[in-house]
Amino acid sequence: MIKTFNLTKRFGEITAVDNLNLHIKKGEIFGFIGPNGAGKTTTIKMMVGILAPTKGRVEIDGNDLAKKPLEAKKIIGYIPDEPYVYPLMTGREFLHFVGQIYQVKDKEKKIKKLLKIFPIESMIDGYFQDFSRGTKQKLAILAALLHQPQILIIDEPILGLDPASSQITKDLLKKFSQKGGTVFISSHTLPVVEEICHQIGIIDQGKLIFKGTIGELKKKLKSKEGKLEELFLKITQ
Amino acid sequence: MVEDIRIFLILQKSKLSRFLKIFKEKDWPKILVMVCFLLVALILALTTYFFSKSAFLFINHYPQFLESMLFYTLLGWFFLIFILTLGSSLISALQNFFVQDDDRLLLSLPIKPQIIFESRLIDLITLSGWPVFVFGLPLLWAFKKSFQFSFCYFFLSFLALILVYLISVLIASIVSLKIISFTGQSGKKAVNLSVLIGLPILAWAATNVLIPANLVETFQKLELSQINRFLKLLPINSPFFPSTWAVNFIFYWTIKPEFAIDNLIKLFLLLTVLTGFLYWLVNKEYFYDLSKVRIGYFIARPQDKRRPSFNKKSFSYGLKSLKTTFLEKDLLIFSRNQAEIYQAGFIFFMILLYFLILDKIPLEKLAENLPYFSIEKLMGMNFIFGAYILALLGLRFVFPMMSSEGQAGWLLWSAPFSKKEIFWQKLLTGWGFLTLIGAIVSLFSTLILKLNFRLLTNQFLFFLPLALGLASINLGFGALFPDFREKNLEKISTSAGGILATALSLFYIFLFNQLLLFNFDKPFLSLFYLLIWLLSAGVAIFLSVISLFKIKRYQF
Repeated sequence: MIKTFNLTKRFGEITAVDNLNLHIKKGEIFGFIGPNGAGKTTTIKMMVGILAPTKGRVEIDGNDLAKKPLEAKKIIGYIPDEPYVYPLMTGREFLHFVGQIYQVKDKEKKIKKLLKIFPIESMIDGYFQDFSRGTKQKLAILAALLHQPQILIIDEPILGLDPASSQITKDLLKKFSQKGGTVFISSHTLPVVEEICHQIGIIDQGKLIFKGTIGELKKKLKSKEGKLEELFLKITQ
Repeated sequence: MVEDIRIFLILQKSKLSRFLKIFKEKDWPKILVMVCFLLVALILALTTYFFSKSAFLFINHYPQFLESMLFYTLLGWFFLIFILTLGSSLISALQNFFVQDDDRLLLSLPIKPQIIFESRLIDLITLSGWPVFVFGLPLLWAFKKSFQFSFCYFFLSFLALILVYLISVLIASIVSLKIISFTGQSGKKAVNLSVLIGLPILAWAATNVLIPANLVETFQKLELSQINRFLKLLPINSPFFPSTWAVNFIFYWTIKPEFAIDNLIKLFLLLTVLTGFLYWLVNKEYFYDLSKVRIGYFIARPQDKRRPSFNKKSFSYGLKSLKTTFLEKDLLIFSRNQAEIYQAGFIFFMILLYFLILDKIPLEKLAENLPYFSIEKLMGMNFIFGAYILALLGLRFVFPMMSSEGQAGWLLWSAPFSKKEIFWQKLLTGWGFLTLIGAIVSLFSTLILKLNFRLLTNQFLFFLPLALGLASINLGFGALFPDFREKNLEKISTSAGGILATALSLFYIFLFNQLLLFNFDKPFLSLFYLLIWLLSAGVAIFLSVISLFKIKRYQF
């Protein structure tokens, strides 16, 4: 569903992402982890088409993102690490605006349905600038689901969310994957990655240093037990 | 107290080091902007100096009314500077006190909100002081040079000017604090509407008060010796204006020192009272207001009520085209942005004031008395005035349009639609907006100058391509030099790209006027009109092509 071929991004002399080759299958939840500045957000930005690669390409459901951007973007739902939008727009207006730009039919009904996922009805008519980090994140999640995408690309899915909302989000992603959706998550919250991801990729200094299941990582590191956090520290140090 | 002063100095030092960093890091675009601003300021200051000096030397040749003419020349200038600094401070205060990137950080630190305010007040005093240096200082220097006054006298005059300026800054600060306290950053509809309705009424009232009825007839009837008595009746001589006190001080310092000192005391007293009131207001409201604007509406004062719930008819219900959606979004956000509404209101106030003054001056009588004066020439001048107004509005409101989309760049550029749609919507909106202003200028000038319908149509049809060219230049340069990080739209307009757009706009207006000046009376279905359209369409197509190329490659 998502494929990257020698994906590279350079900022001046710094190589943020170096020849990244990934293949994420339909229905899979893929966790992308790495230390700060490893190149996770840069990779995600290239996958959703808001950053141009220096070299290589991204394929979304067989569509080259550079050659057929509209076809590729139609099936992606993207949640950034900083979901800021127009500060003087209300939460509900934001959802309607997203519905418009994705040309979602019956958006009123869909928005009504989506608003049942998180209990934010009481504050949704406030302005975006007044919302907490968590509320912005919830709205970004709902907005990403509005056009019923086949792929979700999420940079830090539960950042700023309270425990109940985190649980809702995790269940949501699991259900999404069970229904055949593909999820690409980048996160520093390793217990969440451990809980919901089928496969993980570890990136360090722009290079993919591991790709596979947590069991395979244990095998590689010759570690019989241990949590992902310990394995991650071992492989990146 | 000592700790407060130390923190205040640290804040000032950090701003200074940020400023110096531009030179250390050789940030050429920013250095270029500064050099351009300094050049423009220098040109304006030199023009003021030479103009004032010529005026003073001319007055010096007529000793019989030297005293009154000198006094009223100074009075007029000081009044103008007072109004300019008041307007400039009010616009800057709304942005400066409430929209800064470091609000959250500063409020979380153990710093009193009052110190944050004081630090921003210093910024405001520095930023809005340009009329003092561009108009005030050269005027006083010309005054000194023309009448050979001592340097000490010049220094005291400058002190009086500074006091007038500080009073205007304090008044603007108090007004902006009260506006935000009352409405928040996202203004209430009723307040915004009353500003837009109130400003034309204010402009009308100001014109009627400042310009006496039957101006020309009154002057024609008066003997030279009577002019002095007439001038004394002018409202700019009002005993309530700080500008009048300053001129009284400057003018009577050598003639009636006790009266001069009395006026200086009045200035100091007003300054003290206003400072006291401002501090009372800051201590009472600033933290809450800043919280309301930046930190969140819900933690503001308990009496602040929740907003009414979403009006189902107001925004984007039903599926609409992308251009309509973006237009609706732009209008919605503009209508809620207090600073934007006030800036637009201020510009419209100035336009209206110009027309009302033009209306007040008996042009037909002037035409009878002055051989080189004609309504047609005035119409040409009026068109050039309109062109500069469109360029100013284009720079302020059309130039930042693409940059403002950067706030939601992640959403828009990851969405499955052609980004050309955004550009075309902005171009059409910008063109429509500038054409509307052009139509208003045409209509007012037709009514005031009593022109016929054909000249009205001609004027409007000239504004149509002019607006297209200016909208393309400003939107195109805004797209080529975007600033996605800056939230303050006013600052985006004054970036290096803004300077380039202004330079090109002025050159374009110059070319347009060269074609126009010799052909104003020709029918619009002529070769000349085709040339004007070719020029504008050429500018629009060229800038659209390179802007679209750039927009496609935006990175977030």
